[in-house]
Amino acid sequence: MNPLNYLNPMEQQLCNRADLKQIPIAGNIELLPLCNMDCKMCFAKMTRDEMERHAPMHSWKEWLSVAEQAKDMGMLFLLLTGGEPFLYPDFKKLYLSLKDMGIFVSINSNGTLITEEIAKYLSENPPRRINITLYGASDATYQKLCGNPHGFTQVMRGVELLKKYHIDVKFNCSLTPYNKHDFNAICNVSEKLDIPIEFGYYMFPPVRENNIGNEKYRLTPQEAALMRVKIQKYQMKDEFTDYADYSLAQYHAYEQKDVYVPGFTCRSGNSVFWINYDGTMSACSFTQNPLISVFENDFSTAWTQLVDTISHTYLSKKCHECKKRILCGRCAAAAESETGNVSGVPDYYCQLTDAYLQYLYKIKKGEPIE
Amino acid sequence: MKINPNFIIRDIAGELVIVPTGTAAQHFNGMITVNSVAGFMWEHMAECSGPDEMIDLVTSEFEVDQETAKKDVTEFLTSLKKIGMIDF
Repeated sequence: MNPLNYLNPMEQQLCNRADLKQIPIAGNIELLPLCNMDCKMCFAKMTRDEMERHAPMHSWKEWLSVAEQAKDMGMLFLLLTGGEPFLYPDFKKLYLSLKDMGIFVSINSNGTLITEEIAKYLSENPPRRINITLYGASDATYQKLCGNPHGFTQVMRGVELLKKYHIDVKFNCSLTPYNKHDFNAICNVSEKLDIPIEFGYYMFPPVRENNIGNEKYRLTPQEAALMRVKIQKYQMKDEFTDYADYSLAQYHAYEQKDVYVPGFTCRSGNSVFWINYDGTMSACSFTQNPLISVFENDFSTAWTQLVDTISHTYLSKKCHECKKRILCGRCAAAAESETGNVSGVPDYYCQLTDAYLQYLYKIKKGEPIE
Repeated sequence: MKINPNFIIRDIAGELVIVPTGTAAQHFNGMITVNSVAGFMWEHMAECSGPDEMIDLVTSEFEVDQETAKKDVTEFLTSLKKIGMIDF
């Protein structure tokens, strides 16, 4: 989960400086695991009973104290997520207090619970952005994937309110076996509403207890590769063929010369943190080592331990030396969630990248991809 | 000169940035990075009744000629005023 999408050059420079100094410039706080929907692939959702058995929610004042400590260490960007954050008791109090601290707050929401009252207070205290996950382009798809027969209608109503109040919205969409047929229709919704969309073709396997055993929660590696191509084709339009040529040329010319060093390939655990609803800090929502409580310790202690662990963690040497690395989207979280070990080789990604490479060759030869 | 209290200056990774708090983001939902001279000006804004006093303060604190200081200070203060960060 990246709280730093769409950085402008100045923000990029700040984040690069934070990387060098290992300052927690950006964070994610998962406020609660409860949600009003029941998405088949969700890694976070718990029922209230499951939540109570695992750990209680923390109060808004506790989270505010964590945010104050993070701010003192340099946090500038914070993403509030869940579960569904608008179900969090006292969300408004927490949100407004964070805004008063000079933090750029973004919100991840499913968009179904946005009311006029919410849109109004957000417009008076604008977030950096609301990221709305768009699960499909019809109520039928929402019913199938999220168990909510009115989901699409509710999201469209929420988006309409956010637009009415001039709040910056972005769509996120993860493609799964349940909504891939909606791809073109989802693109149309994004265009019609003039809201940018970011697609995900890769779904992490569950690292928590829920969702285990659900084989259909994600695309096969081959399907994911095809969706990757389709997404790129949609984003680049006429330039996609040139891009495919360029990618192949880059791949053929690629020689691995980087030194094999410890640390993740992204900012997680270096200048970005994740805190689960139970208060455990990790580098990313999909990594479990280390997990350090920000309530049993303080934020600074948790951050220092996290950075120390990640800066001594090696990803797979085989992946590091792989020529296909230049085309591969694997990361520490994928390695850990696919193999149970951050230094493991995530075979799903190997298959996905192999299939993607074959698609690039087909495109170069002018052959159909389907 | 008065700083709009809804804007604060923060040190982020060694860079000084001016950011909005609360409702100020309605008008400016971004940030301005400033150098040490601009940071000094922000800290001393309330002590100066207008740009002329700030120019004097800057020339007394930094090695800069009057003409350059006048141009840069006026430009900076005017920009801040335009986006509602200060008033004079």
